[in-house]
Amino acid sequence: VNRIEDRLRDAYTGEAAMVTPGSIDRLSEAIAAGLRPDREVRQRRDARSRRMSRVVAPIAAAAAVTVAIVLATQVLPRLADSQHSQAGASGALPKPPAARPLTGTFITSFKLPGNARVASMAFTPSGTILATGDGVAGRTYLWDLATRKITATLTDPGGSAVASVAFGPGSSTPVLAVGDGNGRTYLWDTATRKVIATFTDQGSKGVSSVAFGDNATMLATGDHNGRTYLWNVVTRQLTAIMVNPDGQPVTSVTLTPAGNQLAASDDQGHIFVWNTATGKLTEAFADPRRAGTYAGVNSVAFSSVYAPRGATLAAGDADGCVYLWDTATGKLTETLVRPGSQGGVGVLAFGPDGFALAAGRFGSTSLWDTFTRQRAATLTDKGHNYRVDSLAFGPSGSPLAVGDDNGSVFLWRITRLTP
Amino acid sequence: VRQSSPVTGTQGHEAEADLVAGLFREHGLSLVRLAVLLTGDQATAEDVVQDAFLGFHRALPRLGDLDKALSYLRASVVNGCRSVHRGRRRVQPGHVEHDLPVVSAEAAVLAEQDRRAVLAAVARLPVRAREILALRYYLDLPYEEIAATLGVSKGTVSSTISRALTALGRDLKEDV
Repeated sequence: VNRIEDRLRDAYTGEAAMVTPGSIDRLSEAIAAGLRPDREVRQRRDARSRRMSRVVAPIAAAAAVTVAIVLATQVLPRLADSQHSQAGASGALPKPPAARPLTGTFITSFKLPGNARVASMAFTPSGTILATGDGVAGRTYLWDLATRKITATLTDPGGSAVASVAFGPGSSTPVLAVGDGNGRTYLWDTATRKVIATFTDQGSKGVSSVAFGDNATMLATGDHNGRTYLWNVVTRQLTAIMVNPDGQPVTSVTLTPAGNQLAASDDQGHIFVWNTATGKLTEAFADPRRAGTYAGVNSVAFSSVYAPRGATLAAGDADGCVYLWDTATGKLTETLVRPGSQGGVGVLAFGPDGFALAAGRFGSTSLWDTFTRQRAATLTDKGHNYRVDSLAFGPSGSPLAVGDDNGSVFLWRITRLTP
Repeated sequence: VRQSSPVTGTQGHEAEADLVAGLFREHGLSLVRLAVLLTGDQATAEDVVQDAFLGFHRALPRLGDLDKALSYLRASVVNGCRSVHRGRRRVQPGHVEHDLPVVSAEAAVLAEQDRRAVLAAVARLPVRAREILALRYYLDLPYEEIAATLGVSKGTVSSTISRALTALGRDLKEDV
């Protein structure tokens, strides 16, 4: 055994010595650029090209197993230009129902059982039940908002932590999709509290985000392998796989209400927009400050405002900035939050009117009116010193549920003030 | 108990970046080498190490105890290597395959052959055993630290090493 140990040491030492100190200079620069994205713009570009130059290999490998994948090379070069134009309104936004200031009033709070993290929340379409996914214990609780009691506990069959939950639209007992850390998304019948379907990722690094459109048959799931899957909930078939061209983990997915467009944000500050009918990449946005760094876009959300050609897409990033893009023109229309002292935006949610936008940070939630582009309110509970990990608007635009990484859920009544 | 970052504001960001850059200068090379031993490919290893350092930078505000920085980085690298999807293995354009250092002589050739044989045998072991062997025989970490890095018990470390060495011994007798 001694001799084996010696041979092992020699082999490791010899192999390790092949990595010379000089050979990691580029890595050193890439890391330095990632640490200071603003100051070293040139190095950042180098870091990005170092990574982008490698995207071809994973895509080639993935092509064999994907149902639908298109590398829209003509779109990729657009990543190189950050489309930062403060052009103001694109003109695509119709008037909101009432252009009055938003305000939030604290209603109540409750805590998930055990040592929990509120990873994700969703209201039923009727607004009577709030589903809260525990990112630690792998349980999803259904809360009755009238009695403020748990009416059901759905335990992850694989025992994995819950990453994301979403209710399918319509029906009195809607289905609930729960994506977990094992790369599985379970579809629960909330009436019988039974799993009625299981969707499994290829490669199991875990689901990061799940989303429904208004069309109850289409479910999107994004994963840490950098892939977004489209499933048909009725036939339980995989209909498309969309692979992030930069190979980075998907942090968040969102569908337009019509379900025709899907956006997936990634860990490197890129957002890819796909046509769900064709599976084609139609647009790629780069976070103006964060693209190419490792603290990227944490959350994306499509506004539900109907726009003939495109849609308003909001993205919240690690700098605490919220960007709005118009997918029809491909233009950045607004930067809602200046980079600053408030910490990164971990999660975003649009209210059902498509104008109220909530952004969760450490210790507070900012509420914006995207029509007036004014910050409407900052929702902070006294002594609330935890990271906001999940947000959900009730179907009428109120309440807003705010979930944190300490297992607490806060409910806020959201109202529009009369002028 | 949550501790906020000891440093805040613009100056704090600078200090954090300096701290991480310093850790890379000090430990970057050995971590890339560890990742090469676990993935067999320098480009992949660099990706994993880049992820680990920038992930560490992001996690800094949540990490109270900076004494554990190296353990944290080491664990991130090992976990990163484990989750490298085989299909995701990347080839860096222009990346030159390892050249043999030209020391000449048959001794070098024999040593290289033995190294290949040993590494090939290691590659046939389960992933957990490969991780433990690399931490033990490349980084020379004590059992306690290996156990802490991988989140397993000290007993698991010791029994895995003993089983792995037996398997290697058996395997290599046939190869040499």
